[in-house]
Amino acid sequence: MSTMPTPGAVPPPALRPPADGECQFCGSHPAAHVSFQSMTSIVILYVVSAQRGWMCRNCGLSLYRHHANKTMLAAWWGVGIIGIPIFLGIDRLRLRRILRLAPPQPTPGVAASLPAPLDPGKPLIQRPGAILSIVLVTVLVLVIGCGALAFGASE
Amino acid sequence: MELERNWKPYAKGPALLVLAVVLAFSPEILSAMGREFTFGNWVGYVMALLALIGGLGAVRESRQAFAVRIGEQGINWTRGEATVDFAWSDVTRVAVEKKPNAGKLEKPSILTVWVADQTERALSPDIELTGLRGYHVADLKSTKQSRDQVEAALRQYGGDRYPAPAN
Ligand SMILES: [Zn+2]
Repeated sequence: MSTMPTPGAVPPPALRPPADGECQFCGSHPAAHVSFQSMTSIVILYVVSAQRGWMCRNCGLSLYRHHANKTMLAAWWGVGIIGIPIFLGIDRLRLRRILRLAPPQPTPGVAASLPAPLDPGKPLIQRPGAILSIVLVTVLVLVIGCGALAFGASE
Repeated sequence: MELERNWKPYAKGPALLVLAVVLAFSPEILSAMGREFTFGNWVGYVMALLALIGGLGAVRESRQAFAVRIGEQGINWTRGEATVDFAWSDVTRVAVEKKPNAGKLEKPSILTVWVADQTERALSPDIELTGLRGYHVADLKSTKQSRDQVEAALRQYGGDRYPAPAN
């Protein structure tokens, strides 16, 4: 058998990386091109991290929950606080494209970095970010409410 | 076909270094204009430091050896002190692809060589998939040769390893 390179010859049936329309993480289809972002804020600084690309239903949902949870944990501690509803709202709007997809099916011949679609994990409301945000919002509402009452009583 | 750097990677370092100098004096420049940083002068100094680090990195990168040759035997790739020869028989696929995490509208520009073996090479792969490794050989935005020229060479020498571009 010759091992000489044969330019232009057809190679044996080969694996390929995920193409457009296939999940960039697990290679499954169908997939949608989406972008999810999260924000971390410390005093006057804020850092936005984003993940873009083709995602199947499971990987997309998993990433949405990861980023939304991260924003709700890390954006409270500086100027980024103003952006929390915007980031959460935009990510949630983008999630609609992911939720419209059929469940992921493996694509034969595609090599991916994950052997199977990501586990979407716990719902957002059960994650630390949501719990922290509910506590912080409740405290804020109480403080503002008590302050308003005290102000009203002193009038 | 040989790939060479265009002017962009050479200009990036000096441009960032000039920016670093301007930023280092930004508090003085702003005060001459009757203005100041809302959060204090340290903002200008931090930005100057970031530009300095980026500029030195870009200068260092542009001084490294860089060569890519696409020919009948395969693809020879030199970066810094390391050289990797991809024989066509080892290459599963070669394509001009988008950067990872690229936006939908971004044009593909990264010449990527995919191999199915687990051979250790002088440069490490940029992407590891199950059964496939990808090497980012060149960014065609910073080469003298255009994407069309490179794709013509890939079609000529790579045959079916070069898939029809998606866009
Ligand atoms: Zn997936």
